[in-house]
Amino acid sequence: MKLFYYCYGRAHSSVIAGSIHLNRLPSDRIPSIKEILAIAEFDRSDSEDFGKPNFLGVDELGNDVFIIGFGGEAVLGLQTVCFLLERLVDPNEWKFYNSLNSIGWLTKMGGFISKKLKIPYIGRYLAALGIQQSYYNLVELVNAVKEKER
Amino acid sequence: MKEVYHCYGGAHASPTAAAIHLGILPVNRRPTFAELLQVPRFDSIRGWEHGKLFLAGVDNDGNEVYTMGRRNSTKLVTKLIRDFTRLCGGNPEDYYFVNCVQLFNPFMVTGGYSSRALGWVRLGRPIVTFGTMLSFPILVQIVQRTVKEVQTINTVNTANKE
Repeated sequence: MKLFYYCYGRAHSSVIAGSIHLNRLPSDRIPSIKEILAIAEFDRSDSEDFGKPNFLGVDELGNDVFIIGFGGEAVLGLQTVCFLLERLVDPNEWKFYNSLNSIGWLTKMGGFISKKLKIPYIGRYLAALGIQQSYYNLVELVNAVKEKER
Repeated sequence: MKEVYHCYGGAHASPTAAAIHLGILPVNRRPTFAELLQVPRFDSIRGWEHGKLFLAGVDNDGNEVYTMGRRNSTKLVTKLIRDFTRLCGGNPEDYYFVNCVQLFNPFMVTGGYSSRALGWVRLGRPIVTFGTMLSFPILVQIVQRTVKEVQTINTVNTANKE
């Protein structure tokens, strides 16, 4: 099974969701800002990386966990991928989960400041703060995903 | 080689270009209204089929010719197709993407939008067909350039293999 967490730019929410999934972040408490900023992929990719899947790791059930950003065109991106997978492989083995709905405005604003306005020092911190605020939403998403794949 | 002609909706410019490529439409003169309307998939793709590769046929050199709609996200869609082909074990360099929208053509935009997005076929279809006739020489140039480039790529590839 291949699991994809997708969001806008695969820089914040999908990275955190994937890290929770792979137990790199705790799922029973809110991590500190330092812990969030220490994740290698956090706030790294920019608009050049839209549509490039990034392999995060293999979880305890043997599923490959990927993250991907579709930009503002999530529906078009998913359509493209589904049509392509239908032709090439069994599409039921590839699952896509939206992590963008699990985060609030603070992370989105932090991402905007960091990526669009190119002030990463402020934006990264704000994004991490926003992740802390909506952390349990992401945990809930990951738990639902894991429950489904069991 | 898979040659993918893509435009905004995959409904007008790219099927016409693929038809030129496959010899369905004449190269030396503008096609008539009726000829254009007989082009396969002309003015028939809807929004939920954007991003899908439609096989138009195989040309004389053995290349597969596809048409595709990609809205305004050329980069996103081409990257997705290349990267997911690689993830599935295919060769991403097999695809050759050709953009069919090179000049702003108000007839194709307004006609295509009213026919496809709004569903006003009776109003939009004549307008967009007229626009395609205007853009026809440009499409012929695009196709001729593509055929040449793909031939060079193919010869380089076969030379590398040997």
